[in-house]
Amino acid sequence: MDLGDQAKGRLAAASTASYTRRGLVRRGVALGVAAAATGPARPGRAAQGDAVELTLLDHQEPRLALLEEMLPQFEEAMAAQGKNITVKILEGPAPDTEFLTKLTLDYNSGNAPDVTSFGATSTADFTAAGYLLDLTSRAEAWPDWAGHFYQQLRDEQVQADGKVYSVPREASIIQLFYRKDVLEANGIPTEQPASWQDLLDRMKAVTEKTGQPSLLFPAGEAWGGGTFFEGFIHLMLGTESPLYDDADRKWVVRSPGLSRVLTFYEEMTTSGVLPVEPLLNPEPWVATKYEAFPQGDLVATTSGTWGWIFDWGPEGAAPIEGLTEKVATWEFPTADGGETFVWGATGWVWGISAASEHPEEAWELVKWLASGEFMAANAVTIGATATRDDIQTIAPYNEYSFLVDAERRLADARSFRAPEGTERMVQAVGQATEAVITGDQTGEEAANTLAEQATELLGPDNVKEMQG
Amino acid sequence: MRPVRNWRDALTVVGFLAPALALVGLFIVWPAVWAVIQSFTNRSLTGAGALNPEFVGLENYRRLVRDEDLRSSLLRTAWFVFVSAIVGQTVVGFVVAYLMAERPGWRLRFMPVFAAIFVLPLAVPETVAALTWASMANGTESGLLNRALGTVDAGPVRWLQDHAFATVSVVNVWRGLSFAMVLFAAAFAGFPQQVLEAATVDGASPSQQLRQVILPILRPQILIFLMLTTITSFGIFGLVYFLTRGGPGNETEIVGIYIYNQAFRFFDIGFGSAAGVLLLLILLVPGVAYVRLMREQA
Repeated sequence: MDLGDQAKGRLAAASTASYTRRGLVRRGVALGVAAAATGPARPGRAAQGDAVELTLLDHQEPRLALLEEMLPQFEEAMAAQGKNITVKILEGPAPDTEFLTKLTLDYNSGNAPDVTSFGATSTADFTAAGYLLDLTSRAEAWPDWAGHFYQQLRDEQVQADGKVYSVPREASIIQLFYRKDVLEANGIPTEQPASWQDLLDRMKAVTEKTGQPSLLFPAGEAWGGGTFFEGFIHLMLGTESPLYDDADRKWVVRSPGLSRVLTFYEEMTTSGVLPVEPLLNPEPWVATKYEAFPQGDLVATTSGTWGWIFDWGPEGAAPIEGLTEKVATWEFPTADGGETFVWGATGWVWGISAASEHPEEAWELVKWLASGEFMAANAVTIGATATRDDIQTIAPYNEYSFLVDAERRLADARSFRAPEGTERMVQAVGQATEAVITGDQTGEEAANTLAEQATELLGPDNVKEMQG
Repeated sequence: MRPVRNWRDALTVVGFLAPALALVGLFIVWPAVWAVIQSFTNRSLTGAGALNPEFVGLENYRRLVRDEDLRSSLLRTAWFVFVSAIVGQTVVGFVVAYLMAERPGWRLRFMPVFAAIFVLPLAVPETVAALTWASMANGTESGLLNRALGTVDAGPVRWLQDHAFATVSVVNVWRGLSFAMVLFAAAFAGFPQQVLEAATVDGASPSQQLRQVILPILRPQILIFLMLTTITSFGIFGLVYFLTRGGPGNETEIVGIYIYNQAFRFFDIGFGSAAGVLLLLILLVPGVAYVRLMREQA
């Protein structure tokens, strides 16, 4: 039974009690004594029935439209429990980067909304800044948390201080999407590539035949965080080198793995398979994912499950007719041909501002947002997988078999839990990969630059080096 | 101007100046002071640096000195100012105003059109202007500029990809040309005609009149405009940011965008403030030089 159920029970009991005059007087006196004992009402501890307006910040039209449509259900559910809670939706800038900037400034200035959603990669930095409410005890008291949320995703919410500050909104499964039709037409094998070299050889063969760049791992500064989370990290996880050492909480800024990854970017660049010019443009995904891939010029690209809906689905940004016949997926190969893998991790999370005046009501909202019908509709809207195991039968999620299938991959997927300083590492990786793809530096030189840059950005006390 | 003779006069002066001084202090002086203070800290918008910023002395400035991105950004900005503000706005604005002053009939015929066209950039908010240009300069065949080229079987041209720096320079010229023309046209309107007539009687050619009579007399107006356009173009942000975000690569990452990225994309307020202070110091040089020249002129 959760807190809502308990409240419902109390409400039902009260409604059946007899209301005599003596009883009312007795209750009045008791209430007066209680009020005197507890002192003046604290803001945010609204009594049952007091009106509370929560603010909820989100961005991008599909997410906002879904909230507009479904939040009245939450308000009705709360009303049924005797809680007068309404939710005011605040709209943030559509681009993720600008949304993050706005949210960060809101937090820093003390004007943050009660509840908001952000990429899981920001949780550690927000937590260290003291922006987020500690949800540990609330999560532990919520039966759904341990009962239904995937263990891996729950672990990802635990921060350096051992506490939980976020609830996963959705999970991402990222892998390599490839144009099966183009490969078959050019007589190139479509089996799972076993290693980076295997992948590169096939892409070189395509490029030689089509004259077009064929393989996309996001790189450079224009793609922002995508360079790290949609490109670089999937190569890094294919090496034996860690990027962060949980034992001493240090970033590994120089390692054989980092050199190999940047050298692989160099090989992709020099062999002509990487679409360098589009990667330097302000919206690099347009020329690559929205134009070259649908046209069949670009043959393979990293992408999450959202690609099936938002990018190339019938109502996506660049629909591919006969999508499931023409496009298929590979797991990420590793540097030396070890076991292949997919990326699976928390995508966006729900968080409550530490400065919220209505933490309990905000927690009720977060629980509702991370449950049942809303999560099912949200996952489909975003094109992501659910973060708990009990909504696979709930519409409309149950109608998207590829999302449900992807959800099952979470258990054996690889991921990288973003620690404090991730934004700065993202910056260093963006600069290093850009130096490689523009030909300014070799992979080895860029690895040196990355080590220096990351040390400067993160501070020498927060980094270490690993020799081969 | 009546001198201040007693406390009542002084009170009146202070009363009139106080609102303006309060606004300047609150929105210009205090933020600048705050930025200077932050530039000596490791204040960040996220992470531990947001919760407990620490004094780091000159470390941010040491980083700036070593930062190649900043160096290239400053050089790029200087070139941008020279091309778009000094040549594109000041020189072209002056020439057009001069031609209009020289040809009264031409001016009468075109003035209403010019007025409408040239006031428009001043009336449109910077962000709106940038997004409108982004739409016009769309690199596909549907972009307005490419449609125009299509009528002569040319293009399409990827303006913001292949010619990003030139495109943002042209947009900045468009943005500032009107103000230059209004300023210089007003200067020409108030020009002492008898001086020109005397020069004509003395046999001065139009070129000599321009170089030896007009330019020296209009020097204060020219210097004022140069100071304003240099400073505003050096610190320009929105117009370029919403067109290119500083790309492709770093091709249009002028110093305003560099500072924004450090402070609000990478959330490093201390370092971003140091870069802002450096920009302030740089802009003080032309500012002081122009003011000194104007004083000499006066």
